Amino acid sequence: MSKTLQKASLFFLNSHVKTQALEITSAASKPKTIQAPNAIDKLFKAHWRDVCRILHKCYGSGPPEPEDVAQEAFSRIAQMRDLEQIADPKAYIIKIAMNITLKSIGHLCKTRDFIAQHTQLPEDQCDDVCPETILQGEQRIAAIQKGTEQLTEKQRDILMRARIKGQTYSEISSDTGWSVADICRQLNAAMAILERIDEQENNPNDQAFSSHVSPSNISTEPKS
Amino acid sequence: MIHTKRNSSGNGLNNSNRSRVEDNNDRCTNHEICENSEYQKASISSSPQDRAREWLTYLYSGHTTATKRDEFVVWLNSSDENKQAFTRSQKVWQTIGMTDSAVEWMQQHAAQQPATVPKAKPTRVLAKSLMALSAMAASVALLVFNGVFNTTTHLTLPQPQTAFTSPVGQNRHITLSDGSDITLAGNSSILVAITDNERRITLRKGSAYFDVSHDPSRVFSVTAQQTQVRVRGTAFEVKYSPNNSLKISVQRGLVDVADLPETAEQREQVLQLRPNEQLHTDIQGRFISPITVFQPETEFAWLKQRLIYDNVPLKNVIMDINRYVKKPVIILDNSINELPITASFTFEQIEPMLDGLASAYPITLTHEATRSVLTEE
Repeated sequence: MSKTLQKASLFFLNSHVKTQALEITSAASKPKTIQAPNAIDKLFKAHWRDVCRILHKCYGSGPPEPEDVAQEAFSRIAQMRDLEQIADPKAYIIKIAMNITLKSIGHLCKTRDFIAQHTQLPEDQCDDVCPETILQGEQRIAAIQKGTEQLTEKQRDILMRARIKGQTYSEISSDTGWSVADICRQLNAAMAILERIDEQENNPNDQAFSSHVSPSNISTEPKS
Repeated sequence: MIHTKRNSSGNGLNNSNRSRVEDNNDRCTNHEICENSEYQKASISSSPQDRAREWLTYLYSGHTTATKRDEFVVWLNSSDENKQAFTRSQKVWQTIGMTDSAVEWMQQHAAQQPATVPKAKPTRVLAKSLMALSAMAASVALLVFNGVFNTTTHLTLPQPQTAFTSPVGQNRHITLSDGSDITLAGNSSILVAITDNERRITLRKGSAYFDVSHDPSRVFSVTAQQTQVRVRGTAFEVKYSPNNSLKISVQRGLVDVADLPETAEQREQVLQLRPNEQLHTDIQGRFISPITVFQPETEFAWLKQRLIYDNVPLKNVIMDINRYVKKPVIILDNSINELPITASFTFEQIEPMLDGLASAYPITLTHEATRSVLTEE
């Protein structure tokens, strides 16, 4: 096989592979792309450069390279059934691209694997963002969005650096000048606020949780 | 709450000053607090949800230890209430990434970062020295990186590194000062540091073939992600594959492949490869395939300006092709990613090969202004 291939100027094994290839593609029963090519093409032309720029600024030049990540994100959105459901396609693409990038950060991968292993949740349910999960979890997303708007500027910055940029405490400290202890405290306070609002929005009758994260409990400034 | 230590910095200091005070007086991290007695007392009164949140942020802090992770597992499995609380925190953590706030923060953050593209100067000096500047920038970035993240207990002077990059469309041959030869595939990049004691290469992207001159006194190492390949005199290739995995293929001699530990307490795993043996590792350095035998004529055909595939997934073929075409080729249907391709062509034949793909396989090729798109037929 290889010797033949080396000598061939341009060579395909049509008849052999065609059958095999058809088996593969028919076996893959994933939803077929039904987007109008023009819609995807318009999205691509309108947002490609800016998405790449944002990824580059937030995560550096890779690997994975921002262009590869953006391509994967556009590819995923192109396979969605109902593009019309998305109010802000660019934000959607950025969310998907962000998640793809985070899957390449070593310490996050290890943490995700570890948590998935011990909570017996599938890994992709632990920390995955895909078009389907975004649409399915609208109520929770709205609650967390509301929660993030109630955070202080500092809390939001630390939360996003840890969760969205995938930075360790040391990296956040190095970038901002805030102490590791302060970062730890602010991040826990921010999460407490989000959990409280999530609980209120999704289970308003359960007061037990709310009482544990009363405002006095989530104070972020050191008490004298 | 987790924080049992308090300082008295509420005295009108601005944020940065306050941070410094805290840095000096209040170095309590989750990890450290977990080990002191004050925390033990505090944790008795804290709710499962508080503890769940503390564990979650601790696990994502980037500063965990095996001991504390074991403690987490014990805590998690001690009651269903703990498991439910942790799942709740985890869901909130996950959902943050789906909010518009996250996107807004990314956009703001990107706007605050300094521009990475230098302003054009009206002289030709900049253009002439662009390569030198690139190498210097890479070296400076590496020095800064080492300075910030090096946590060893003794002072180590970072060695200057030189960056080599190949353009899209062609291989690049480099001979190092020790006599070793390196061939970079198109659109690939390495950093090189050669001293009296070691020869250290970092593969930043793409693929590289190394023909290493024998030198028993200096190990020749190639690092990519969390994988390190160590030899003293041999020939082998290290290549980035889809999903950030790596492929190491040995042509001559013996090669040690190491799964680099991320923390001092972890042990390094090492596998030895012989000629014509191949191994795949993932982004974390884990060995994700058994050692397999490969055809060197096929694997190293790219050194002779040819690409040969024998039942290779389409996504791997396209990843290679994109090192040699100006207009990137994109697969828009995941269903054809794994399509097995058998083909042989030179770099100059990539365009007709793509047209041939469309007629030989159940796929459609569409040429757009900035890219070529492959979709399921």
